[in-house]
Amino acid sequence: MDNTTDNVNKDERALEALLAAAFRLDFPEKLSDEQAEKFFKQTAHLSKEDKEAIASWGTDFIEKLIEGEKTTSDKHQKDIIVNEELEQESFAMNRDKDGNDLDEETRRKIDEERKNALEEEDKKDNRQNNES
Amino acid sequence: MDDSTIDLEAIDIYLIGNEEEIAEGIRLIDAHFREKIIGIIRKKALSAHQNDLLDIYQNVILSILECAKKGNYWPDAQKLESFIYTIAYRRAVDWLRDKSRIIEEYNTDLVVESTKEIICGSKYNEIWQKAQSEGKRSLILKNIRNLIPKLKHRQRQVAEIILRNFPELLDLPSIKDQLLKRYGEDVTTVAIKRARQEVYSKIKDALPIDDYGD
Repeated sequence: MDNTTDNVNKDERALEALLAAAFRLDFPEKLSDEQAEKFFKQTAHLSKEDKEAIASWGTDFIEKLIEGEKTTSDKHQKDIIVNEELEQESFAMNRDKDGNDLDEETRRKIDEERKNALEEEDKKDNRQNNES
Repeated sequence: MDDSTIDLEAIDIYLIGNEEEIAEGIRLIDAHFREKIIGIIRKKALSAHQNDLLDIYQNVILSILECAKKGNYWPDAQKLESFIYTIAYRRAVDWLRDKSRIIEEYNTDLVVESTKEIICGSKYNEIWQKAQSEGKRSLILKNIRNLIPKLKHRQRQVAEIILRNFPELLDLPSIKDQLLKRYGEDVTTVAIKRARQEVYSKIKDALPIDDYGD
């Protein structure tokens, strides 16, 4: 079957109509106090990725906002990367220190496991990239 | 009185207080409402990346902060939840305008008429009519609004393009063209078709098909 053939049938068209109705007709700009109260009591419907992103923000940016400074997304991303790099560096330093007490066999096993973990991470990333 | 009620009242009091108290109110709003606010933003700004969500969320918080500092928040006139909802909705619309150059259309009559006509000629007509007689149409639409934000980024982009252009019927090359124009992303037709199928599939999930023997 040719994947590029484009035939939107009338049932699929109806699904598009429902999509438009859901987001353009039934999603008001304002809610009454009662409606809003009800709305906020419900669970927020977010993807796993969105939830993870929100959790990763921390609260430092709120303090900056209170002081009048907005954190740009790139800067925030850089902050996360820098933090990760610092953590890795710290981990590496500790590993180096502790590593002095390890014998050759243990060191080899640790390196092997680390390599496997990194490969697994790469595979996971590739899978996610392919999916998106 | 449960804990959440106490917190909300505390936030109200903080927001009409001095600068330090307002700051505390903002911290509490972030602690209590972050996910909920993002939930509102996500439903409006379907194509937003996670980085964009942070930008929009900050704009929401800044707007709340500004309103409180200017003394424009009146807990007696408007409850905190509806105040936050309105601000979150508006900042998400601002983002859509800035980022995707999408102007919100308010020609609701056209959408209503087209929706009615299109559904009428489909196999979903019976479900839709029955939902109306049972007062469940809003529930179906709400389910759709809850399911679509959970799709993957590309699928959300495609959903956004379809719903913003409705009732115009877009073929795959047109969706491809809009993805390029709006988001600067050159996507294969196959990937777009797959994404669109996922969108359809989520909408079907929101329909009470089993109840109607579909």
